Amino acid sequence: MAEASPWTSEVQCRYFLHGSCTQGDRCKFAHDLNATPSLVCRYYLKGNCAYGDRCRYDHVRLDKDKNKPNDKKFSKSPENFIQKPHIKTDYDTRKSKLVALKKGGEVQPEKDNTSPHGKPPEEWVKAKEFVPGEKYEGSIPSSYAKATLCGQDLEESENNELNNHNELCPYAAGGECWYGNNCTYLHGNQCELCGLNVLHPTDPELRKKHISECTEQHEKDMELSFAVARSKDKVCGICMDIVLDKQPVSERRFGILPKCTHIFCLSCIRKWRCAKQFENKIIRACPECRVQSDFVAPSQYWVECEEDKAKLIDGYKNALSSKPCRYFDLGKGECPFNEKCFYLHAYPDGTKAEPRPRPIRRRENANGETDIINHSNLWDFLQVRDELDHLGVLDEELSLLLLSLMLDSSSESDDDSL
Amino acid sequence: MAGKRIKKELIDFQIDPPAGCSAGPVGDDIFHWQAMIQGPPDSPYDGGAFKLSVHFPTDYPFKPPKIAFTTKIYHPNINSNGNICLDILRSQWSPALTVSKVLLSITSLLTDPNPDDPLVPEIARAYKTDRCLYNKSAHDWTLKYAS
Repeated sequence: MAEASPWTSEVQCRYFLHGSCTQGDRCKFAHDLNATPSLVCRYYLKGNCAYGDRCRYDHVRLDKDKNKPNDKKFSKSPENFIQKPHIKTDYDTRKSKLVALKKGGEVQPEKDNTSPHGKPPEEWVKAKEFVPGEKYEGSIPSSYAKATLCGQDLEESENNELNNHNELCPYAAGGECWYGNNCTYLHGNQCELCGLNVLHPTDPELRKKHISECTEQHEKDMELSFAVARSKDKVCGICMDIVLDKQPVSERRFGILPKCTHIFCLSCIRKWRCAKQFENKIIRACPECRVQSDFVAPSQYWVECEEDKAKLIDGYKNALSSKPCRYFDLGKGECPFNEKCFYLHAYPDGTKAEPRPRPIRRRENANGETDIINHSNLWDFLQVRDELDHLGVLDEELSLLLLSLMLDSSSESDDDSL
Repeated sequence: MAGKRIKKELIDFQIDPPAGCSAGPVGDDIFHWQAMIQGPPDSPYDGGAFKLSVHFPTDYPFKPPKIAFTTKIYHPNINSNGNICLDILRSQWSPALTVSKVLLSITSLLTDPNPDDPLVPEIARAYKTDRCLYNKSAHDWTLKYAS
């Protein structure tokens, strides 16, 4: 416990609790097996922890009268009080106005006997269990990292305290609230989509917000179930297994070829594209239709329509563009793909590398003079050819048009002469 | 993986065998099959039954199976050892190909030899210059070795 900052030393180390803290004596958190549980499973509290007995967190009901065990711990040192602004009690509700006044700088009650955070030490014991809440309860931090940050942002926290009376009870949201009608929080109405009692009884904005969030979630779920249904009986053209039935689970991925719609699992198509004994154009081609694709995009589900495929490929390229290229090797190596490489070409200081200039090529022309060729991309030739073709078509159309005009004008002039 | 895929192919082959072909493992070794092709009706090999041996490599289907005729056959692309000159069995192999597809390809090779890429130049020459002689020889060999 060397140099432990006072407040963390009061918090039970969650790794130690599960026998896996690698910090040992140097750990800044408390290593005390007899300590009361500090990591209560919030899903258990709501009555729907999917892990059951296997949950890493503690499955204990917190007693109403006894107050939460680790609140006592929080109360031990004033520094822990940074948690306080997020912990709601009747006391807080009553005090909220005072706090607001204090914030305004007019009245500063209890100034003398309190910590800089505004509450007398004897009140800290009333601090309620910190329960990370739903996302619609914006004031409650969703992670320990956020929880520790909150103390630094006192002003914001105080604002949140003002909103106490406006917040929904997370216990009631998940089913049953032990406080019943005495609960200081609001008990919401049931949302038809998610089945939780989370619809704000009075604020139409919040209701609308939750419904739109729920609808969005529902649409996502639908999309996912369609994707699963679409993928579930797809057979890899190489191993001939059903991709989503493969073992181990990590093998259940599709390798999507951008240029065709044949089905392969990622490992099979990648292995084939690494085959050494065949020509490049054979292994880069789809094994079924022989259409060449430049890369394989991994996907958890089978994508069929062009739009989804484009989305998948964009996502894949984006993901790769943040990974350092191992050929480029932070500027120490050379990447054969140069500016076409999907991976990140950046130096150790983070600056992105400019595409390496192409080597200058010289050639002797028919007159014996030396020409310097800067760029010779196959693409340029193709483009020039395509443009010429295009012009050719235009020429034909133009000449036909001119011809018809000429004919018209000659017939008109004939008319005139008559 | 190879064994699993070969077993799948065997099941598929037994459910839906291609026309004029049969195949199955020799003994317990799933990696060694014997196949039989009937001479196509519109060819001089009509009436013959040609046996082939099929050896699967351990990294099948990423490498092609080794297929050879064990019955002698008079054909520009098949030599006296029974080796077959067929691109999909060498450079043009694809892991999506199966024994059944390859046997069908061999059947069509019997109908339409490829004299421009011969394994036996004399037979290719006969095929190109004296089709009657070629047809007669092929038919004679079929009667002699494959009936």
